[in-house]
Amino acid sequence: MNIITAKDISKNFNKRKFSWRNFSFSEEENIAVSNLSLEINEGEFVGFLGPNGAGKTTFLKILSGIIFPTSGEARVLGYVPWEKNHDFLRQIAIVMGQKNQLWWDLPAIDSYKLLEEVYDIKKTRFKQNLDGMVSLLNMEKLLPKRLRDMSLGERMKCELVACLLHDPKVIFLDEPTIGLDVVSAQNIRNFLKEINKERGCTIILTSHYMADIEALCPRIIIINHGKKIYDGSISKLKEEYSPEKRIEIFLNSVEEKTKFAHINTKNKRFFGNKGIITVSKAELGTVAKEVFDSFKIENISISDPEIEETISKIFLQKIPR
Amino acid sequence: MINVIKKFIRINIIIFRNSYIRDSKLVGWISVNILSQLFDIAVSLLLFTVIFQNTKSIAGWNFYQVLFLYAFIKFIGSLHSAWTRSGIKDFSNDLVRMGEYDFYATKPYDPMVLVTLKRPKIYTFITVLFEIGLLVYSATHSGMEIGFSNIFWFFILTLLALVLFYFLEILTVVPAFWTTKIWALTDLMNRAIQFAKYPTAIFPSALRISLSTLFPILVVSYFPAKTLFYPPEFKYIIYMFLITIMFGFITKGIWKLGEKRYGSASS
Repeated sequence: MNIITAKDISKNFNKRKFSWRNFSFSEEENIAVSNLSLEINEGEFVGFLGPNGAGKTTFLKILSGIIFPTSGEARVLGYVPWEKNHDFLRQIAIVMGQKNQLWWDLPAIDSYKLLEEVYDIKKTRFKQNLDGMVSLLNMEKLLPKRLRDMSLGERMKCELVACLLHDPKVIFLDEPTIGLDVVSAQNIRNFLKEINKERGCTIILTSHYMADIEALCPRIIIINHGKKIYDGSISKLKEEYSPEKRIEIFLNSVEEKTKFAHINTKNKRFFGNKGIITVSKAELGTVAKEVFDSFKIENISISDPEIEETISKIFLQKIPR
Repeated sequence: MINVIKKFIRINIIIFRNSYIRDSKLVGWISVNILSQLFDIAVSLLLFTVIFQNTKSIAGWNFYQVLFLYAFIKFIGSLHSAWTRSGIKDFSNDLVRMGEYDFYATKPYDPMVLVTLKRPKIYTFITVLFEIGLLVYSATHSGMEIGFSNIFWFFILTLLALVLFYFLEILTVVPAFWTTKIWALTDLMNRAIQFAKYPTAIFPSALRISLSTLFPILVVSYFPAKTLFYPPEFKYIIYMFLITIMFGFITKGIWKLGEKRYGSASS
């Protein structure tokens, strides 16, 4: 069942500037989102990808009702988000990795109590949710600590708990792992996976970290210049945009480097002590045979291209759609 | 309606409790603030004493009545300062500019109320207590006959004055939705409050009408005070009801328009 539908959503930000030279106003138009349409089913975990300024966060803010679109239609849980119906707002949550909603000078637990009241959460449910998440995130010691005394990772844990106390059906996460170390980011990812599985809520995630997207999102939507340029699974993306294989050979000596230079294929390059060949699936058999004949098997690996590589090609529009 | 009020009270209790937890660590800052407020009251008292050494009354109001008027507008201002002004200031300076209004816009509670309740300064209520003392002192020494109906209508109009003052304060910052940051209008309002310390009859009629209709700051102080000291006049009471409701609609309407204009901030 579609829980989110958006049709031809556009958002332009207009800036009026006064020019003393012409003594007149001029309007500068910045298109943040352009005719974006999509449908998201209940329980899906969808990743939004795009370079800085692509329009991901703007689109997320439109779907959560924070900002009004310039044109287009959207329904989230059957509501028009920007009408800000309280029943709708009670069923959604938004977390922004670069902003805090909790009171800076207070322990997180005090902010949670305010949220309990604002969202009309029943006392037993509040306690049950809080206890469950505190134990899942191992943050018993954080609750009485003031937010300003916490590390970035600890703060993000507290923010996530705050957004989930009222059992939202749709969760918008805008770069929740930004600035976190590897371990903290992994903890957050595990937590989100667990929540999505356990509660069946729909989660929309924007992130610049491919590790987040690969670990969590079976479906990704790529946006660039405000337009949707891909919607599907990561594996399909690789198939569609990077149908090649990548052969990596660890080169131990000058002799091996010379051998590598003589392999009969076009797309090869050195990367330190590594020789990298990108080869189409049709060519793979021939090239792989030559490689296995020339180098020790333990020094060879064959894999799909890195997802970052594929996506950066799309961002840079090297791949025509 | 009762549920709405109950929820409002419960939210306020939590916010005040949180404010107490936060501010109890800032004793020095609180003490300086309270002392400066008390100093301001003392200077104003001195000024009134000097003025009344040269005249017996201002527009028919004696020293204690004018003192009451002064204490009343101070009381309204301090109550707002304790309760909503910091939130209003944060809204005008930071919430729109930094995009932090996002969190208020996504809560199932009136964002205008939630923003203004954001950061009360609970210790300013100590100043409010001094002002209540000054109100009682000046009312009891005014030599006027104050009956039950005066007190009853005075309390009703005080409630309306509080609400009207709140709307006026919001109106001075709501342009932040368009300008991203604004505080100049609130400064202007603080200057206009000076007029509310005196009986309206001393002002030229154009100014009196403007400050009773377009920006009704005189209504906030003079109408309740007049109702306490003189027989309640229903034209004043009805006017105050109507103008408060009207400004409520205007404030809410402009806030909603502003929300449509709100563009948040880049991540």
